[in-house]
Amino acid sequence: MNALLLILYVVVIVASYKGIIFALKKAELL
Amino acid sequence: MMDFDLTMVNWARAQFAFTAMYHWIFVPLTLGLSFLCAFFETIYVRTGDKEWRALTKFWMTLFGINFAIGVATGIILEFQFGTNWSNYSWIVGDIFGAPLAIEGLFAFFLEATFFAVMFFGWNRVSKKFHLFSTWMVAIGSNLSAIWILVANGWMQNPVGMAFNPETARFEMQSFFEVVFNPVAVSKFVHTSSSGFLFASLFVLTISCWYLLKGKHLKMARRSIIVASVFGLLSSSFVAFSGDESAYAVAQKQPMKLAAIEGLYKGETTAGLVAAGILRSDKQPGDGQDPFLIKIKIPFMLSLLANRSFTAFVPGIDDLVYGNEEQGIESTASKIAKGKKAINDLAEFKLARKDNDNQKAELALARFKENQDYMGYGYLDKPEEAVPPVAIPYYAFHIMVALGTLFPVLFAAFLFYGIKDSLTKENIKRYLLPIGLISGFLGLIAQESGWVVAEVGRQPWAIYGLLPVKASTTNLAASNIQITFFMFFVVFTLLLIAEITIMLKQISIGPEEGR
Amino acid sequence: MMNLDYATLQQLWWIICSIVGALFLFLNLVQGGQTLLWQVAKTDLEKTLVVTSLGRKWEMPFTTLVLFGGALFAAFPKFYATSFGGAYWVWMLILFSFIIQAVSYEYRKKPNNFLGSTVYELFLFINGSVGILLIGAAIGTFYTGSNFTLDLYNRVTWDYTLLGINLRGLEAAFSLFNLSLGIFLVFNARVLGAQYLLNSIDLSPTPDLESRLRKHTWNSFLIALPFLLYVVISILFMKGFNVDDAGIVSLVSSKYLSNLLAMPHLLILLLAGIVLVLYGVLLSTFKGSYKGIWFSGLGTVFVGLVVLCLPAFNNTAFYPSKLDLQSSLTIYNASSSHYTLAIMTYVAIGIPFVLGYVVYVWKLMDSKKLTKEEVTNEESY
Repeated sequence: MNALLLILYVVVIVASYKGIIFALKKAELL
Repeated sequence: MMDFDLTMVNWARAQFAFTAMYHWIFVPLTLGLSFLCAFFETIYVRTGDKEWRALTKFWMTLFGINFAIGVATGIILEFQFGTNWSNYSWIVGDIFGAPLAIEGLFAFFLEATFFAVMFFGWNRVSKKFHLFSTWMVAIGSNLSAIWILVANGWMQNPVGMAFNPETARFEMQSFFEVVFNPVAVSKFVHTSSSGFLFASLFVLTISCWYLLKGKHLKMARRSIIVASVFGLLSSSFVAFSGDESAYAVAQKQPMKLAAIEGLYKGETTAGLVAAGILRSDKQPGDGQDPFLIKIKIPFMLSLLANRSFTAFVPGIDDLVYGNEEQGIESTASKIAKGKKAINDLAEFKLARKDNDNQKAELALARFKENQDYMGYGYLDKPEEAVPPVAIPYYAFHIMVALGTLFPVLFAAFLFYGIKDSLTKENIKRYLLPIGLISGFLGLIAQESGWVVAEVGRQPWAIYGLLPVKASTTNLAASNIQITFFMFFVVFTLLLIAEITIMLKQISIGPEEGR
Repeated sequence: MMNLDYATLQQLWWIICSIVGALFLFLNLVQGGQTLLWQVAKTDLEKTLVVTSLGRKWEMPFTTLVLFGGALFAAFPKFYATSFGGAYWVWMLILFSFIIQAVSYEYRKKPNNFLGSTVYELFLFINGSVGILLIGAAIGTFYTGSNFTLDLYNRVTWDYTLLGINLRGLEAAFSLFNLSLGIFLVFNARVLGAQYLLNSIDLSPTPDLESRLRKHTWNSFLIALPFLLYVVISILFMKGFNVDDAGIVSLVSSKYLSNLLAMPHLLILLLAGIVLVLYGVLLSTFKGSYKGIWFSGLGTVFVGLVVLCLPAFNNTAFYPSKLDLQSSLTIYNASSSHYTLAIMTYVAIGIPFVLGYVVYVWKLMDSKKLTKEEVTNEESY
C-alpha cells in the first residue's frame, strides 16, 4: 500500500501537468 | 518522577499548538503553489508567451511573500522540542532527531538555494536553469514534508525502536521501519497533496476576485483552469489517501478513531456517523448516548476501519474499561502494569548507581515483563487515556465535509472555465462567490486536519509509550507564558503585515508585459 | 558505516557538527551586512543594493542554523535536550532574532507592509547584533560552563537565580569570556559582510558606498581583534573540564592549552585561520581588492572549527556544568546510539553533494555583480 500511495502521488503531479496542457488547449488558452 | 506541573504542561501544549497552527497557515500554500508556479513557468518556457511570464511572476510574488513567513514561523518548531519538551527530546531523540536533521540537509537547502535563483535569477541564468530551479523549490519543499511527517508519524505509531533501560531512552533499531511506517507514508502523501489542494483553492479565490471585479480576465481564466485540474486531481487523491490514513489510524490508534467518530460502545457492522451533534456532558462509561442527534451510514465504519463490513470497531468504553470478548485489555490493567514497570525501572537505575549488579539484574527482569505498558504507568486514572472527543470529532467531520465539496467545485470551475462561461451572469452570481470563499474553507480544512491528528493523539506524545505530561522540560510555567505572549505578538504583527502586503499585490495584479 | 566503532562515529559527528557550525559563522556575512546597513548605505539606491545583495543569500545562514540544530538533535540529543531545555531564554531570544529576520528582506520594500521599512531594517539589525552575540555567548559556555544538573534519567534542571528569577542561560552574558566571543563574532561578521558586499555589488555608480565598505572592513576588524585576542589568551590559560578514564570530570589548569598542544593540527588551523582573516582584511582595506571575502571567510571557517573542536576532544567535556561537574556532557555520553550515528553517517554522504550545488548556484548567481540597473528595473529587496 505504501508503494501504491507513493506512486499515485507522483502520478497526480505528472497527470496534473498533462491534464493542464490538455485543458488549456481545449479552452484555446494555450 | 510522578510530580507533574500541569500548568506548565498545558502552557507548553498551548504554545506548540499555537506556533504549529500558525506555521500551518503558510506551509500548505508553499507546498502547492510551488508546483503551480512550476506548471505556470513550464508553460511559459514552452510557449515563450510573455503573458504566461507575467502570470507566473505574479503568482511567484505571492509565493515569495508567503514563503518568508512560512520560514519565519518554522524555525521555532524545530527548536521548541528542545526548549519546552526536553524530556521528550532526550527519551526519543535517538529516533526523532534523524528525520529533522535530514529535512534540514536535503530539503531546506534545496528550497533555500534555488529560491534565490527563482526570484533573482531571471536575467542571470538560462531559461532552462531557471525553470529547473523553480521545480527544485517545489520538490525541496515537499521533500521536507516527508521528513517532518516521518517524525510525526513515528509519534503516532512508534516503530523500529527499542527501550534501553541503561540510558532510559528509546533507541532506533531500524531506520527503514521508521521511514516506511505506514502511518508516515499515508500521512505524507495526504498532507502534501492537501497542500496542492489548498494552493489550488488559493489561486481559485484570487482569480474569482478578479473575475468578479472584471479585471485580468484572461489571466484569471488561465489560472482557474490550471488550478482546477491540479485541484481536481489532488483533492481526489486527498480523499483516497485520507481514507488510507484513517485506516492506519483505526489499526494503530483505535482510541483516536473512536474519538473522531464519537464511538463509545464498540460495534460490529459499525455505522459511520456522517453528521451529528455530540452531547456535551457525555463521559466514558456513563451509558448515555453520545449524540443528541446523528445521521449514520450503516456498515461504513467497519469498512473504513477494517476493510470488512462486519469487523468489530472498538469504542472508547471498550478501550478504557476493557472488552474480554474482543480481547481488549482494560486501561486500568495497563496502568497497573505500567506503574510496576516504572517502579522496577527506578529500582534498576538506583541499583546500577549503587553498583549492586545482582539487584539490578532482578529489577531489570521484572521491568521487562511490563515495559510495554510503561507509558500507561504515568496515568492517574483510566479515563485519562481518552483524548478530548468533541474537538477531533468536529474537526474531522468538518474536514471531510469540505473535502467532499472541493472536487465538485474544481470540476465545475474546470467545466465552465474551458467553456469560457466564467463571466456569464448566473456563474458570476452563484459559482464565483463560492470560489471566492473556497480558499478560506480550505484553510479551515487544513487546520482541522492537524487538530484531528494532534488532539486525537492525546494524552500521548509517543502513542502508548510516553504521555505528553511526562515529556516537558523542568521549567516554570511563567517562562512559557512570557514566550507564548511574545510569539503571539510577533506572529500577529507578521501575519497582519503578510496580509496587507498580499492584498496590495493582489490589487496591483500581474504586470502584463513585464 | 556500521563497522566503524562507536567512539569513531561520535568523534566524526562532532567534527561534522563543527563544520556546519563553522560554515554558519562564515555565512554570518549576511548578519554582518545587516548591522552595517545604516552605516554604509546612505541613499535609497545604496540601501537597496546592500539589502538586495544580502537578501539573495539570507537563507543560507538561516538554513545552516536550522541544520546545525537538527544535526545536534540527531547526533547529540542529550546536548540538544539539556542546552535548549536548560538555557531556555538564551535560545528563545536567539530564535526570535531569526524569526524577525526571516520576513524582513521580503517585506521591507513591499507596499503596504504595515510596519514600515525602518522597522524591518531594525529587525535585521537586531538579528545581526543580539542574535549573533547570544550565539557567541552560548558557544562560549562550551569553555566556561553552565549551570545545570542531570538526574538519573538525564532530565535537566537549570539553576541560576538572580533576584529570584531563574535566568536560564542569560547569565552567560555575565562572563567576560562569553561576551567577548559574542562581540568578536558580531564584528567578524561585519568584516565578512563588508567584504561580501564589496565582492558582489557593482560599486562603480556608488563610490561612497565602496569607500565606506572598505573603511568598515578595517574598523570592524580593529574592534573585533582585542576581543578575539582576549578569547584566545583566555583559552590558553583558563581552567578546563577534563574527563579522566573513569569518566570523572574535574577542573584542570590550562586544559585547553594542553588540548592545543595535544592536537597540533588544531593549533595550526587556528593560526592559519587568524592569518587568513587578517590577510583578507588587508586586501580589502589597503589593496582595493574585491576578493578579500574568500580569505577572511576561509579563515573564519578555520577559527570556527577550532573553537568548536577544541573543547570536545582530548578527554574534554564539551558542555560542562559548573554547578555539577559530573553532569557535564562529553561527546561520548551525549550522543545517539551507534545505530543512529551509523545511519546518519550514510546520510552525511550527501553533504558534499549539497555543498556542491550550493557552491555551484552561488557562483552562477554571483558571476555578474549586482548592478544599479538590476535593482531599479527588476526584482530587488
